[in-house]
Amino acid sequence: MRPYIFLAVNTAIFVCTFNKIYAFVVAAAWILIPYFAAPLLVSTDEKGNKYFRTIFYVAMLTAFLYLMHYDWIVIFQKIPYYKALKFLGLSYFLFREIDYTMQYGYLKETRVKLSFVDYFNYVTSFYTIMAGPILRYEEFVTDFYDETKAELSADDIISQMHRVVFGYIKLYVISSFMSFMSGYWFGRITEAGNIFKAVIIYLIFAAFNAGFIYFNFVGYCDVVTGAARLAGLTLRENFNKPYMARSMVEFWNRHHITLSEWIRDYIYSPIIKALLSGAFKKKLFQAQCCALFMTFLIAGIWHGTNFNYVVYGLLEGLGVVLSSVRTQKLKKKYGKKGLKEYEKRKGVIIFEHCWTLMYVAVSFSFVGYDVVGLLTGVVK
Amino acid sequence: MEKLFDKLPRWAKLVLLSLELAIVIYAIFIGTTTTVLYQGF
Repeated sequence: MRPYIFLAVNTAIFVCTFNKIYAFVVAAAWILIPYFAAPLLVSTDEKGNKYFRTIFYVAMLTAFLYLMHYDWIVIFQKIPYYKALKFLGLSYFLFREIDYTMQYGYLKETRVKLSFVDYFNYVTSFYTIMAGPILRYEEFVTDFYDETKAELSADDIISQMHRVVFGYIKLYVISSFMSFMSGYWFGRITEAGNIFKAVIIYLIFAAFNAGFIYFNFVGYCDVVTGAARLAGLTLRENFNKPYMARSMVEFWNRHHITLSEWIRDYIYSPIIKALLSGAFKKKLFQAQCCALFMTFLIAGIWHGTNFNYVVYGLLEGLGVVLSSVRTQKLKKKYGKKGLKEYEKRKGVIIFEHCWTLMYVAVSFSFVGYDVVGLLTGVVK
Repeated sequence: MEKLFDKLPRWAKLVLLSLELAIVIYAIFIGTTTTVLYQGF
């Protein structure tokens, strides 16, 4: 009975997000096609299967780029119904569909439940429709049908309610204040008078904006994780004190963890495999750096529809590569034991925390604000 | 914050929860225009 209750709720919310019939039809196709294509992707004919797989993923990706309305891909804007075809949760549908289709062979082998109701509940789960956390199909189904879970005690219920309510406080009070402050300081940058003042104001704006992004996102995740727990589901934690990180690599292991893991499995791994079997044979470290840069650039572009997100992706990619190169050089210089001692130095700890915080804040300033427009305006 | 909350007696948890709820209701209906960060996902 429970899967059908979820099916009804998910369908109702899914339908309510549309105000145009075209968008609903396209979204329904977007969800149904991967379910029916998945068995064909793991057919026994290896050669035909390879071509079909390539065509399938290229088509999925092209449809995604079209539906996402990237304003710098002009060609798509000329196709009819372009404006009408936008729907909520598109990216997260794609993440789950790719996970389902890629893992289908493994899921079948390990006899994980593969019914349409479970697939639909997995892809459209209403509480994670907008920004994750991104569960894997196996994880979702295993948790959904887990009968060994202990029932929530009165204290557990109060704790989870507190998590939900405090999540709302992070979302509507703390992040709201941060948003107001970042908007205020962003508007003051052009009035600074000299470059030194402008940089200081920009850094203040960037710090508030980074705080806004963190509290908004972590608040949302607290709300959905707590609410899901009250409904008997367990979601994975998506944040682990990201602003305590000492390098960009560590930051991305602590921030939006489920997305980082998805990106690692489905973007980074194929890229590094291709690089190691091609241009970077026997150059593991160079291949890693190149794959990291490309991965973060793709992830950055995915985040939003304008050019600011391209710059954001470039900065994230550069930050992660610089962090990897620095660690590699320090390892060579001090050795493994020496590096541990080096990392315990107070000066190093302070420098690493400050640098990571500042780098994250500056790169995040391109999210939600037209910093590229501001900079080009200043240069003109 | 969660760990601290879990250590409180039940009556204190309920009082705190009610206060937090009042803040949220005030913020949603009167104090803010902020929504969930939505960048076109």
